[in-house]
Amino acid sequence: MKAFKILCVILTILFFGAFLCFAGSGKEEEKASAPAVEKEEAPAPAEDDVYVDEWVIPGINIITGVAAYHGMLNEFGVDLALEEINSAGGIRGKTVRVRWYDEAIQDAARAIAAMSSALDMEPLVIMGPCGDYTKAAMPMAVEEGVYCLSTLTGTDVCKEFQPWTLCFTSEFEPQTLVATDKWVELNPGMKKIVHFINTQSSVWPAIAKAEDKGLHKLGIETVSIDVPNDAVNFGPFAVKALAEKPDGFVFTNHPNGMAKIIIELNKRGWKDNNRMLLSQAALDPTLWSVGEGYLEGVYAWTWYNPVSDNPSWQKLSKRHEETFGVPASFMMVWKGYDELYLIKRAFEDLKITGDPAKLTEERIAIRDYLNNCRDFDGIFGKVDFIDGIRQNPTFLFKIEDNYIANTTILETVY
Amino acid sequence: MSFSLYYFLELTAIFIILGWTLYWVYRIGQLNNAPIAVMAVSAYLCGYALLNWGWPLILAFVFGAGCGILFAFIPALALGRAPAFAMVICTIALIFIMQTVFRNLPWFGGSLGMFGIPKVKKLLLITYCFVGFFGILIYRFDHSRLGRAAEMIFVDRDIASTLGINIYLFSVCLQVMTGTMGAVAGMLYVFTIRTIVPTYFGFAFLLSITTFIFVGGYTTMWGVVVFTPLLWGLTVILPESITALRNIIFGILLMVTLLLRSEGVIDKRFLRKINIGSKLVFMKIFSLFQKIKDVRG
Repeated sequence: MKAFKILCVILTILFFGAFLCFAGSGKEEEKASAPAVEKEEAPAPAEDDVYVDEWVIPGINIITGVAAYHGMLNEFGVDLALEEINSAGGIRGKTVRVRWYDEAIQDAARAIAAMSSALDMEPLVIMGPCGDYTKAAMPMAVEEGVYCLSTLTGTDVCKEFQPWTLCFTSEFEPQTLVATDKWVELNPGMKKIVHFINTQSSVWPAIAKAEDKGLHKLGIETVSIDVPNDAVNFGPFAVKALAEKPDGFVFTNHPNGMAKIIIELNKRGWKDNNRMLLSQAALDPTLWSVGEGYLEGVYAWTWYNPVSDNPSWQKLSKRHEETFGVPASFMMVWKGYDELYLIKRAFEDLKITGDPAKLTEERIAIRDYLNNCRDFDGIFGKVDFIDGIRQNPTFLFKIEDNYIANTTILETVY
Repeated sequence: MSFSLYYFLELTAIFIILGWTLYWVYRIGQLNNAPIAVMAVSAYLCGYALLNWGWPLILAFVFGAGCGILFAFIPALALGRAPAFAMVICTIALIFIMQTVFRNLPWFGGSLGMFGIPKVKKLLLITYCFVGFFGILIYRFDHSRLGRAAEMIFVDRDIASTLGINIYLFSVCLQVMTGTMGAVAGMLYVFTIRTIVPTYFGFAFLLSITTFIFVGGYTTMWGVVVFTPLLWGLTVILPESITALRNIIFGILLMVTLLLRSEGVIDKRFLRKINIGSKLVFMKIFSLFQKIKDVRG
């Protein structure tokens, strides 16, 4: 009985403590986004005066779960952009803040909860969602008419929610064909390739399909091996692959799995790492940490340039190296950075006020502007957005000294 | 109503129905996870009927529920006599099988899933009507001789058999009933999210529901009702600064509850105490009114 009473007290304190914290943060936001014009009664506001004291942008991010490091890197890039923007006077003279909501990963209910909380802020625009469960959260945003920068969601999914979403990844097929063509050209004589694919994801199979198409076009036979997310022992995958007597390997699965399979292949006598191609999104921190010492000579294709000499990227990469010990390479690091600068440009060019009376009108203006934003000065240089899709170049890199070599072999603009 | 509140109430109701599916079969000592797989079957078939055949909503709903019930019935025939542990493993396997099947069927969108499920008006009201309906059904079951029979099976299967209870039939019937509830929950879930992806009906779901029922209490139907909104609400209302600690808070709550009260917070003793307590309060209020009346008189 006594124990039960103690438990009741603990539960009550926890519950009400959380409630109080929540109520506290809500009040703070209300105060922060209170209309500036109400405080300063004179002079009368102009038509395009900023209505808010501070821009609060909701960000839906992977904060917990197995991929929490994605969210951590996303916040890392956003923090740098916030620092730069706010120290340069903010957006239209007002500081910017991002209010994060956790979409977790592989949990549709969490994604819905995050989106509903973000929508309650009556936002002009939302950063994210970014995980696989964008599909669960996006219908709500579309219905409410809020533009979402769900930038890293594959084009196949984004298309379902356009024009209300912005996609950073281009159509897979044209990019993939360029990459596979070049890789095969650099490694002539390949007839049969084993393709490791994670079929559980909604993005990987679409990329794999495009890669297979490119290889088949060149007369190369492919054999697919499914690598599930939760695989623990990667030896059997290597054994199964080598039994096919292939001339090379393509990896379109989770970077952790890529690295582990490469290690197993190397241990079982595979020497020619040049005949390994890692698909886009491979350049994740786990690839470098898990695969260290085994990745020499492996090729990887991406749609952004982690060895870019653009000053913004150099700054971010340097800070990343200072913090994590390695230069930046993963796309989550710069996703939020570019998103915030896109928002800044849209708000400034469209003279967004944040006035609740103009909410619908301004949301539509932002949507139309960002869907076709030309010459955006992104972290890697100028880039265009056409019909909500970023127009990306294709890069093929070779891994040397456990990092991508500073020589871009290919740069074909899609 | 704010978006957060609406979706909180909607998801809570769906979680309560699902919690009851686990609770009901566990009344006879079997932990049946098949309703999650049934959810997937009903959701996909209802969605397919709506999107590809253009069926009206009610017809698609009935079709989805019918298919779900049929799908629950077939494994129930084999699992009726299965011991608790075998049933857990088999039904978890069933979830993975369903996920893999739907992921590989191109008609259902493969791993990309299905989009554009139409919006259902008054979904919240409909969902709570189902919660009420299933709640009354389970309450009536618990307070009937069937409920007492279930309790006997939970305590000792052999003695239950000697008392003339057909355990196999009992198990099959309960599995089909909970399959029906799972089918309804699956379709309500899809009308809430309005997209269908195989991974929606997976392990994350199962873990949440298992936590709700085992913390709340698995010996009465009220544990799920009280603790689902509390635990799910806790994960939703946490401020951003401690969001990352969500899983730790959840884990500690689970551990503390199970260590201090292995049957969950709301068990039968607790209900009896509340019952006695509430009777005492009513009696005191009544006697107080009597006294006031006497003084005035």
